[in-house]
Amino acid sequence: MAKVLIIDDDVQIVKLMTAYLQREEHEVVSANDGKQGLKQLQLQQFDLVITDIVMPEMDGLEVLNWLRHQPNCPKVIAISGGSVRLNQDLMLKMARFSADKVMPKPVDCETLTATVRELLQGEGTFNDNALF
Amino acid sequence: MHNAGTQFQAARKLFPRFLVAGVLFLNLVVAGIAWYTLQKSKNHYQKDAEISVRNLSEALDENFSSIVSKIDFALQVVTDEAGYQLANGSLQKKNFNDLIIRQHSRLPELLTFRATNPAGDAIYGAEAEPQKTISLAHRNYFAQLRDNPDAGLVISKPLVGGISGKLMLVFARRFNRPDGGFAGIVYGGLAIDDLVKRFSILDIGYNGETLLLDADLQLVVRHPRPASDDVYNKRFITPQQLEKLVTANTESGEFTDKSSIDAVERTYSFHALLHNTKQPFYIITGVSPRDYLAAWRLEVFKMSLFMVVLLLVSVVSFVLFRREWRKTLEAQQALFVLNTELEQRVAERTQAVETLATEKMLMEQKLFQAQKMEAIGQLAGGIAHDFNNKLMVIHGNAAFARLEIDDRARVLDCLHEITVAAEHSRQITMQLLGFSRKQVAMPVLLDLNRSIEQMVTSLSRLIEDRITVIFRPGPDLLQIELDPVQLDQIVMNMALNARDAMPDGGLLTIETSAVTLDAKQDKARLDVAPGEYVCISFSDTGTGMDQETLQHIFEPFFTTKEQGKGTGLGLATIYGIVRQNRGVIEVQSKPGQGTVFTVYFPQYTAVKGRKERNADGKGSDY
Repeated sequence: MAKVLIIDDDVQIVKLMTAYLQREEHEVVSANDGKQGLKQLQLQQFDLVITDIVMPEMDGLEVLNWLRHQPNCPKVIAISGGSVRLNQDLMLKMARFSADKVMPKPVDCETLTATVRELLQGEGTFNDNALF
Repeated sequence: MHNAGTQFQAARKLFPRFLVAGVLFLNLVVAGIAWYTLQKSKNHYQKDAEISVRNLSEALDENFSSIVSKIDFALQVVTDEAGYQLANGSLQKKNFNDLIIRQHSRLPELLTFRATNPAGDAIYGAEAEPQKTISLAHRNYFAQLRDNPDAGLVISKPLVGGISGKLMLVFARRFNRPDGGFAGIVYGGLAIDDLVKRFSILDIGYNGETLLLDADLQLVVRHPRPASDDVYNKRFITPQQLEKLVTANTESGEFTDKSSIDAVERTYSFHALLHNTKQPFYIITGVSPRDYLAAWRLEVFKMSLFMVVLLLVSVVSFVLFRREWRKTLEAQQALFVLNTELEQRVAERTQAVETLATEKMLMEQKLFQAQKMEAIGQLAGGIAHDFNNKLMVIHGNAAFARLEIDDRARVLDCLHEITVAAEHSRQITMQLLGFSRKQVAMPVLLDLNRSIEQMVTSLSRLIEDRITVIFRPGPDLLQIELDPVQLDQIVMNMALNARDAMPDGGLLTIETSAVTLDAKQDKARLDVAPGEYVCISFSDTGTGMDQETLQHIFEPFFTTKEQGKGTGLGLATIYGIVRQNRGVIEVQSKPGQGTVFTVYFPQYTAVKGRKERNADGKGSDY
């Protein structure tokens, strides 16, 4: 049982991930872009943040950057979509900004659930497999 | 240039020469005509002179002959009387003297008129006293008469009279005794001056001369009177023509020669006097060309003056003309050189510009290629992102449905999600195909207001609450022929663009109306055929666009959106749809003042629609 923030501009994806996480009995809060996500992060403490990277307004990278400077930083899963080239660039950046896990789209939801479980159970070794 | 230059040079050399030749030729022709006229005139004058000189000779002949016959008649009267008296005894001196004096008084022109005895003493006549008289025995004519009973009238050479001391001609006849022996002569002396006076009455001109020659062609009388009397009794140095005339025993004739007295050339008329006598005389009248050609000379002078003036005028005209001509020629040449230089420079510049243009074109092509590659990258990124999202939704929901297979409601919800995601994917595909023109448009007759109304409802789902969409339908029965999918694309893209232009919310107004586009007013602005149109406008209250952006918005792959978010195909697709349907799109925008897109489609009319469909075939060439 953990508190999870999902940030994604695609409502269907938000709905899907929410359904999976709620099935795992997590408490889920959602936001449609980085700006809304930050607002939620400032309001309450989360155990895990799942964020899309490419979004209107504020993208996921900015959210990550902000999170890394917080004292009680939650676990972070960054989800990237788009081309191979885009992925590689973003993953390098991601490493610098230190997401706990980077998953390329399309994300298999069962894998995602497993990853969430893993991250929340473990002490969350910092950045251990960020680069796969 | 070189060729033309040479031609210029040649023309420059040749033309004045031709001109000179022409002017000279003209002058020559005029001179020739003048010369011919003058020659004619001269001949005329000469003929006139010949005629007048002949007339003169005849007049003199008349004059001289008459005086000679008068004198001869007087002489014969006296000799007859002498012969008569001698036949009756002897000469009765008183009676004889009276006769002589009487005869003399009839001939006042005679200086002397006397008769001699056989010894030659002039004892008969006025003032013929023995102490005062002289003997004529030494005279030639006396001897001639004494020795020849048949001598008739004898005319002496010019001689100085023993009594008068004057130069004179003596006319004499002999008279005989009854036995035929010599009894004496009767003679009369005619002063040469008197003859000269008679000759001078006739006008022979300032340089003319009148000559009287005796049978031996010795000078008897000359008018004007020569400076010295030495010329008398000398043979006139006759020209051959005169000799010929005399030898041929001709009565008259003409010739031209120089006078042996004053060496002046004259036209002479020759006339024989006392023709067929033992002692003929010759009258020769000469007029000098100096006189009879004086008028002609004036003509010549005038004509020469005219020629000189003509020549001068020609030369001056030519010189002036040539100067002007040269100026013109030089100006032309200068102009030609300038022109050539200018042309050369223009050619050089043109080439430079062309080179630049070519370079620019190549650069632009390269740039465009690069941009296209980048755009394709962006497009691929955007599409991949969207597809991945939808795939994830489909995949995830399918998996979730399996997990919750017993919960019918959850499964149905999952299936719905899957359907929505699939539909979304289809739209992405459609957009791509629409852009790549592979999709075949299927125009149908649309009620524009109703179609848009339906779309506006679904737009709300696409656009967040912060944006208000207002639809203001125009008059009913706005019908167009259009593929509904294309209309959907237009409205959807316009709405998405408006949304992105209004991040802080705003108002999107969609309006429809009917307009008539005028050929004159709207042609330049819209580049569309005039006629009835249906118009859809999309006005937002967003950020607006600057001029630079406005110029590119319809270009494919042009986007102001973040990397991976916009394909840069939305407006390009709309542009394609509009043009494919013979419509036109217009945009008005300023930074901070919102944007208005206006789309015009030809209004559908039953006849026109069918006709155009037929003409257009499949109608999707755009």
